[in-house]
Amino acid sequence: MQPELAQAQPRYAAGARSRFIMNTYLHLFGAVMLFVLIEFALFQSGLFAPVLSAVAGLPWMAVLGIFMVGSWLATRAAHTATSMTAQYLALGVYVGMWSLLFVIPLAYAMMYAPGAISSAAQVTVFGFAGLTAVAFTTRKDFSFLGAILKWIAVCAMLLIGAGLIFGFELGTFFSVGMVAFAGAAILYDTSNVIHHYPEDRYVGAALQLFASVAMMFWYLLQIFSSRD
Amino acid sequence: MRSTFDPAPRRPTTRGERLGAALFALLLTGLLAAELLQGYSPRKLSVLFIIAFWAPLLVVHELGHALTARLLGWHVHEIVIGFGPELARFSVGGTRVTLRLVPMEGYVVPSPDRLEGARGKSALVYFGGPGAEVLCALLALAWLGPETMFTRTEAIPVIAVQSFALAAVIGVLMTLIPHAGGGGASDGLGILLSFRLSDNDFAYRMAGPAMDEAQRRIEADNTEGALEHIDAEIAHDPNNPFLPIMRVRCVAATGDRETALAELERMREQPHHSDLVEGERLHAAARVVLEAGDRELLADAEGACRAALERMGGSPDVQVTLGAILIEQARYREAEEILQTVFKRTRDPWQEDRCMAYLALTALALGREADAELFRQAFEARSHNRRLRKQLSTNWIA
Repeated sequence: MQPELAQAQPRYAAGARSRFIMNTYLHLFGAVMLFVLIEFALFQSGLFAPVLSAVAGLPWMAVLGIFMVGSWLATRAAHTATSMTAQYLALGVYVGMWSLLFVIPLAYAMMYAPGAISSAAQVTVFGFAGLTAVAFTTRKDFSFLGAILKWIAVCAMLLIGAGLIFGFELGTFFSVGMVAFAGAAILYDTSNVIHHYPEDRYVGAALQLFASVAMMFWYLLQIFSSRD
Repeated sequence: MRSTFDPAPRRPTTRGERLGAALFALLLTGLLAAELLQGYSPRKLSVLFIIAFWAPLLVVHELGHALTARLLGWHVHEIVIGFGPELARFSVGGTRVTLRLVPMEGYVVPSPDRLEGARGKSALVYFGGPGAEVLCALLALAWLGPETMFTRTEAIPVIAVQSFALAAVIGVLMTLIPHAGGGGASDGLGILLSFRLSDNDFAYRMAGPAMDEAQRRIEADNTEGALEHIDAEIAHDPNNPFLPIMRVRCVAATGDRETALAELERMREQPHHSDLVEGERLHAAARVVLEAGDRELLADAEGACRAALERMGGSPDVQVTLGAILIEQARYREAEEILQTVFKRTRDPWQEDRCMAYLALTALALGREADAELFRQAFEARSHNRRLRKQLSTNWIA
């Protein structure tokens, strides 16, 4: 009884779409590997300490502001640039920004919550795999989540901003809500990969998926670190 | 933390999607409530205050645009507060006001009185909304004083006023940062673009309310009323190039195809240098063919629509006409694709109605009866478009 509105979308040649999906997930895998390599290099070389003091030395509002503007620019470049070099540069910068931001919770988890990183990583991998399977097996068009996700993102930023301005801490329930938000974002992004993205935009699609996965990992890390 | 890129903006359409979205929103609201209660402190109430002040500040913002426009002598055609299902519609001093379910965003449709100074006035009208919110923030600052305003406190009344000021500042930042998204340009982008608009752009805005009203009268099967209205507007503004083009559409709607075609031919012999005017003329030609139901000319009408789209940068009105022409040509899949694109992006309830009616027809033709019924019911529940109602009922009987 569900209207199959996805049928209204442009028909794609099956081979071209499959290649696009394959490219997207290869690039996502590459982005995750780059992220892991950067973190590994930072922590193995001891460079994480100056990064940590630089990031922690700034007001958190400024850090978030820089990160948000940088994310917006990188996302925009990955989705609109015609040059492949610019698209890859955008993806690289985006992964780099997340890597620097992650130094704080990773360092905290290493010091105060041993095991939190592997637990968060495992749940992220299983969550991502499960949600991806749901999107691919049902073939449901989840693009209707776009508007809801936009408003949830605004509310989340409002909560974070209010916490910083008025001086209160956000706890576990907020993190659980953000994990749910990240899950919905993965469903939405995967559905767009299946149904909607132009086939030459696999770098942008991979960046979007990476953003959702990184957000899920971030908040799961918060949950596991605080529980331990 | 996550910039949303939306290659397929679409609202929940089916009952299942709406239920899913509602449950998801309920879950997150519950988590928000739990978060605020966990380790409660009065400071956490700031979040609720900001949310509570959002709708009144939205009204202030839209009234800021509307009052600025009126002070500058412009006509305010429409004020829309919120998005989603319509709750109420009424008129105040010639301005149509629509209240919708979710008061998170809104818009005002002003139109200039004359071309002189229109660029500066347009920029001021765009600034009127955020300007009103700046005024609210300054009033809050004056009331509390700078020291109290910028000091963290546990006093709930002070937190309420601080939250009010913060909500106003957030509103100002969200609208003044130049960006395009959703249904159009932000106020900041509008201010910048105002100075790049041509006289024809403003002439189009001046004609817009009259053209919309004539179109609505046509759709309500009041074609004589539409013609009378547009004639009165032409008498009021004889130099506007868009009004005679709309008049051709009104003439065609009365069934006088020959006069409409003769008028179009006369216009074609005197081509206008503006893409916008030429685009509207081509669109009118396509509408005349559609009104006349002349099947032999449908291919030409399609070509006119596509040429109009090139000139007008993808106007949703023209896209809907193209969708209707493709339906007449039994090219339902292509029609559905175009109509879905408009349906996903439009904020105009009249445009939504047209899309829903045509999408019901395409779904029916493609054998998806459940989809067709869903769109038909949604259309019939709210639309005053008698012409499309008739077309739908004819198809449903068939």
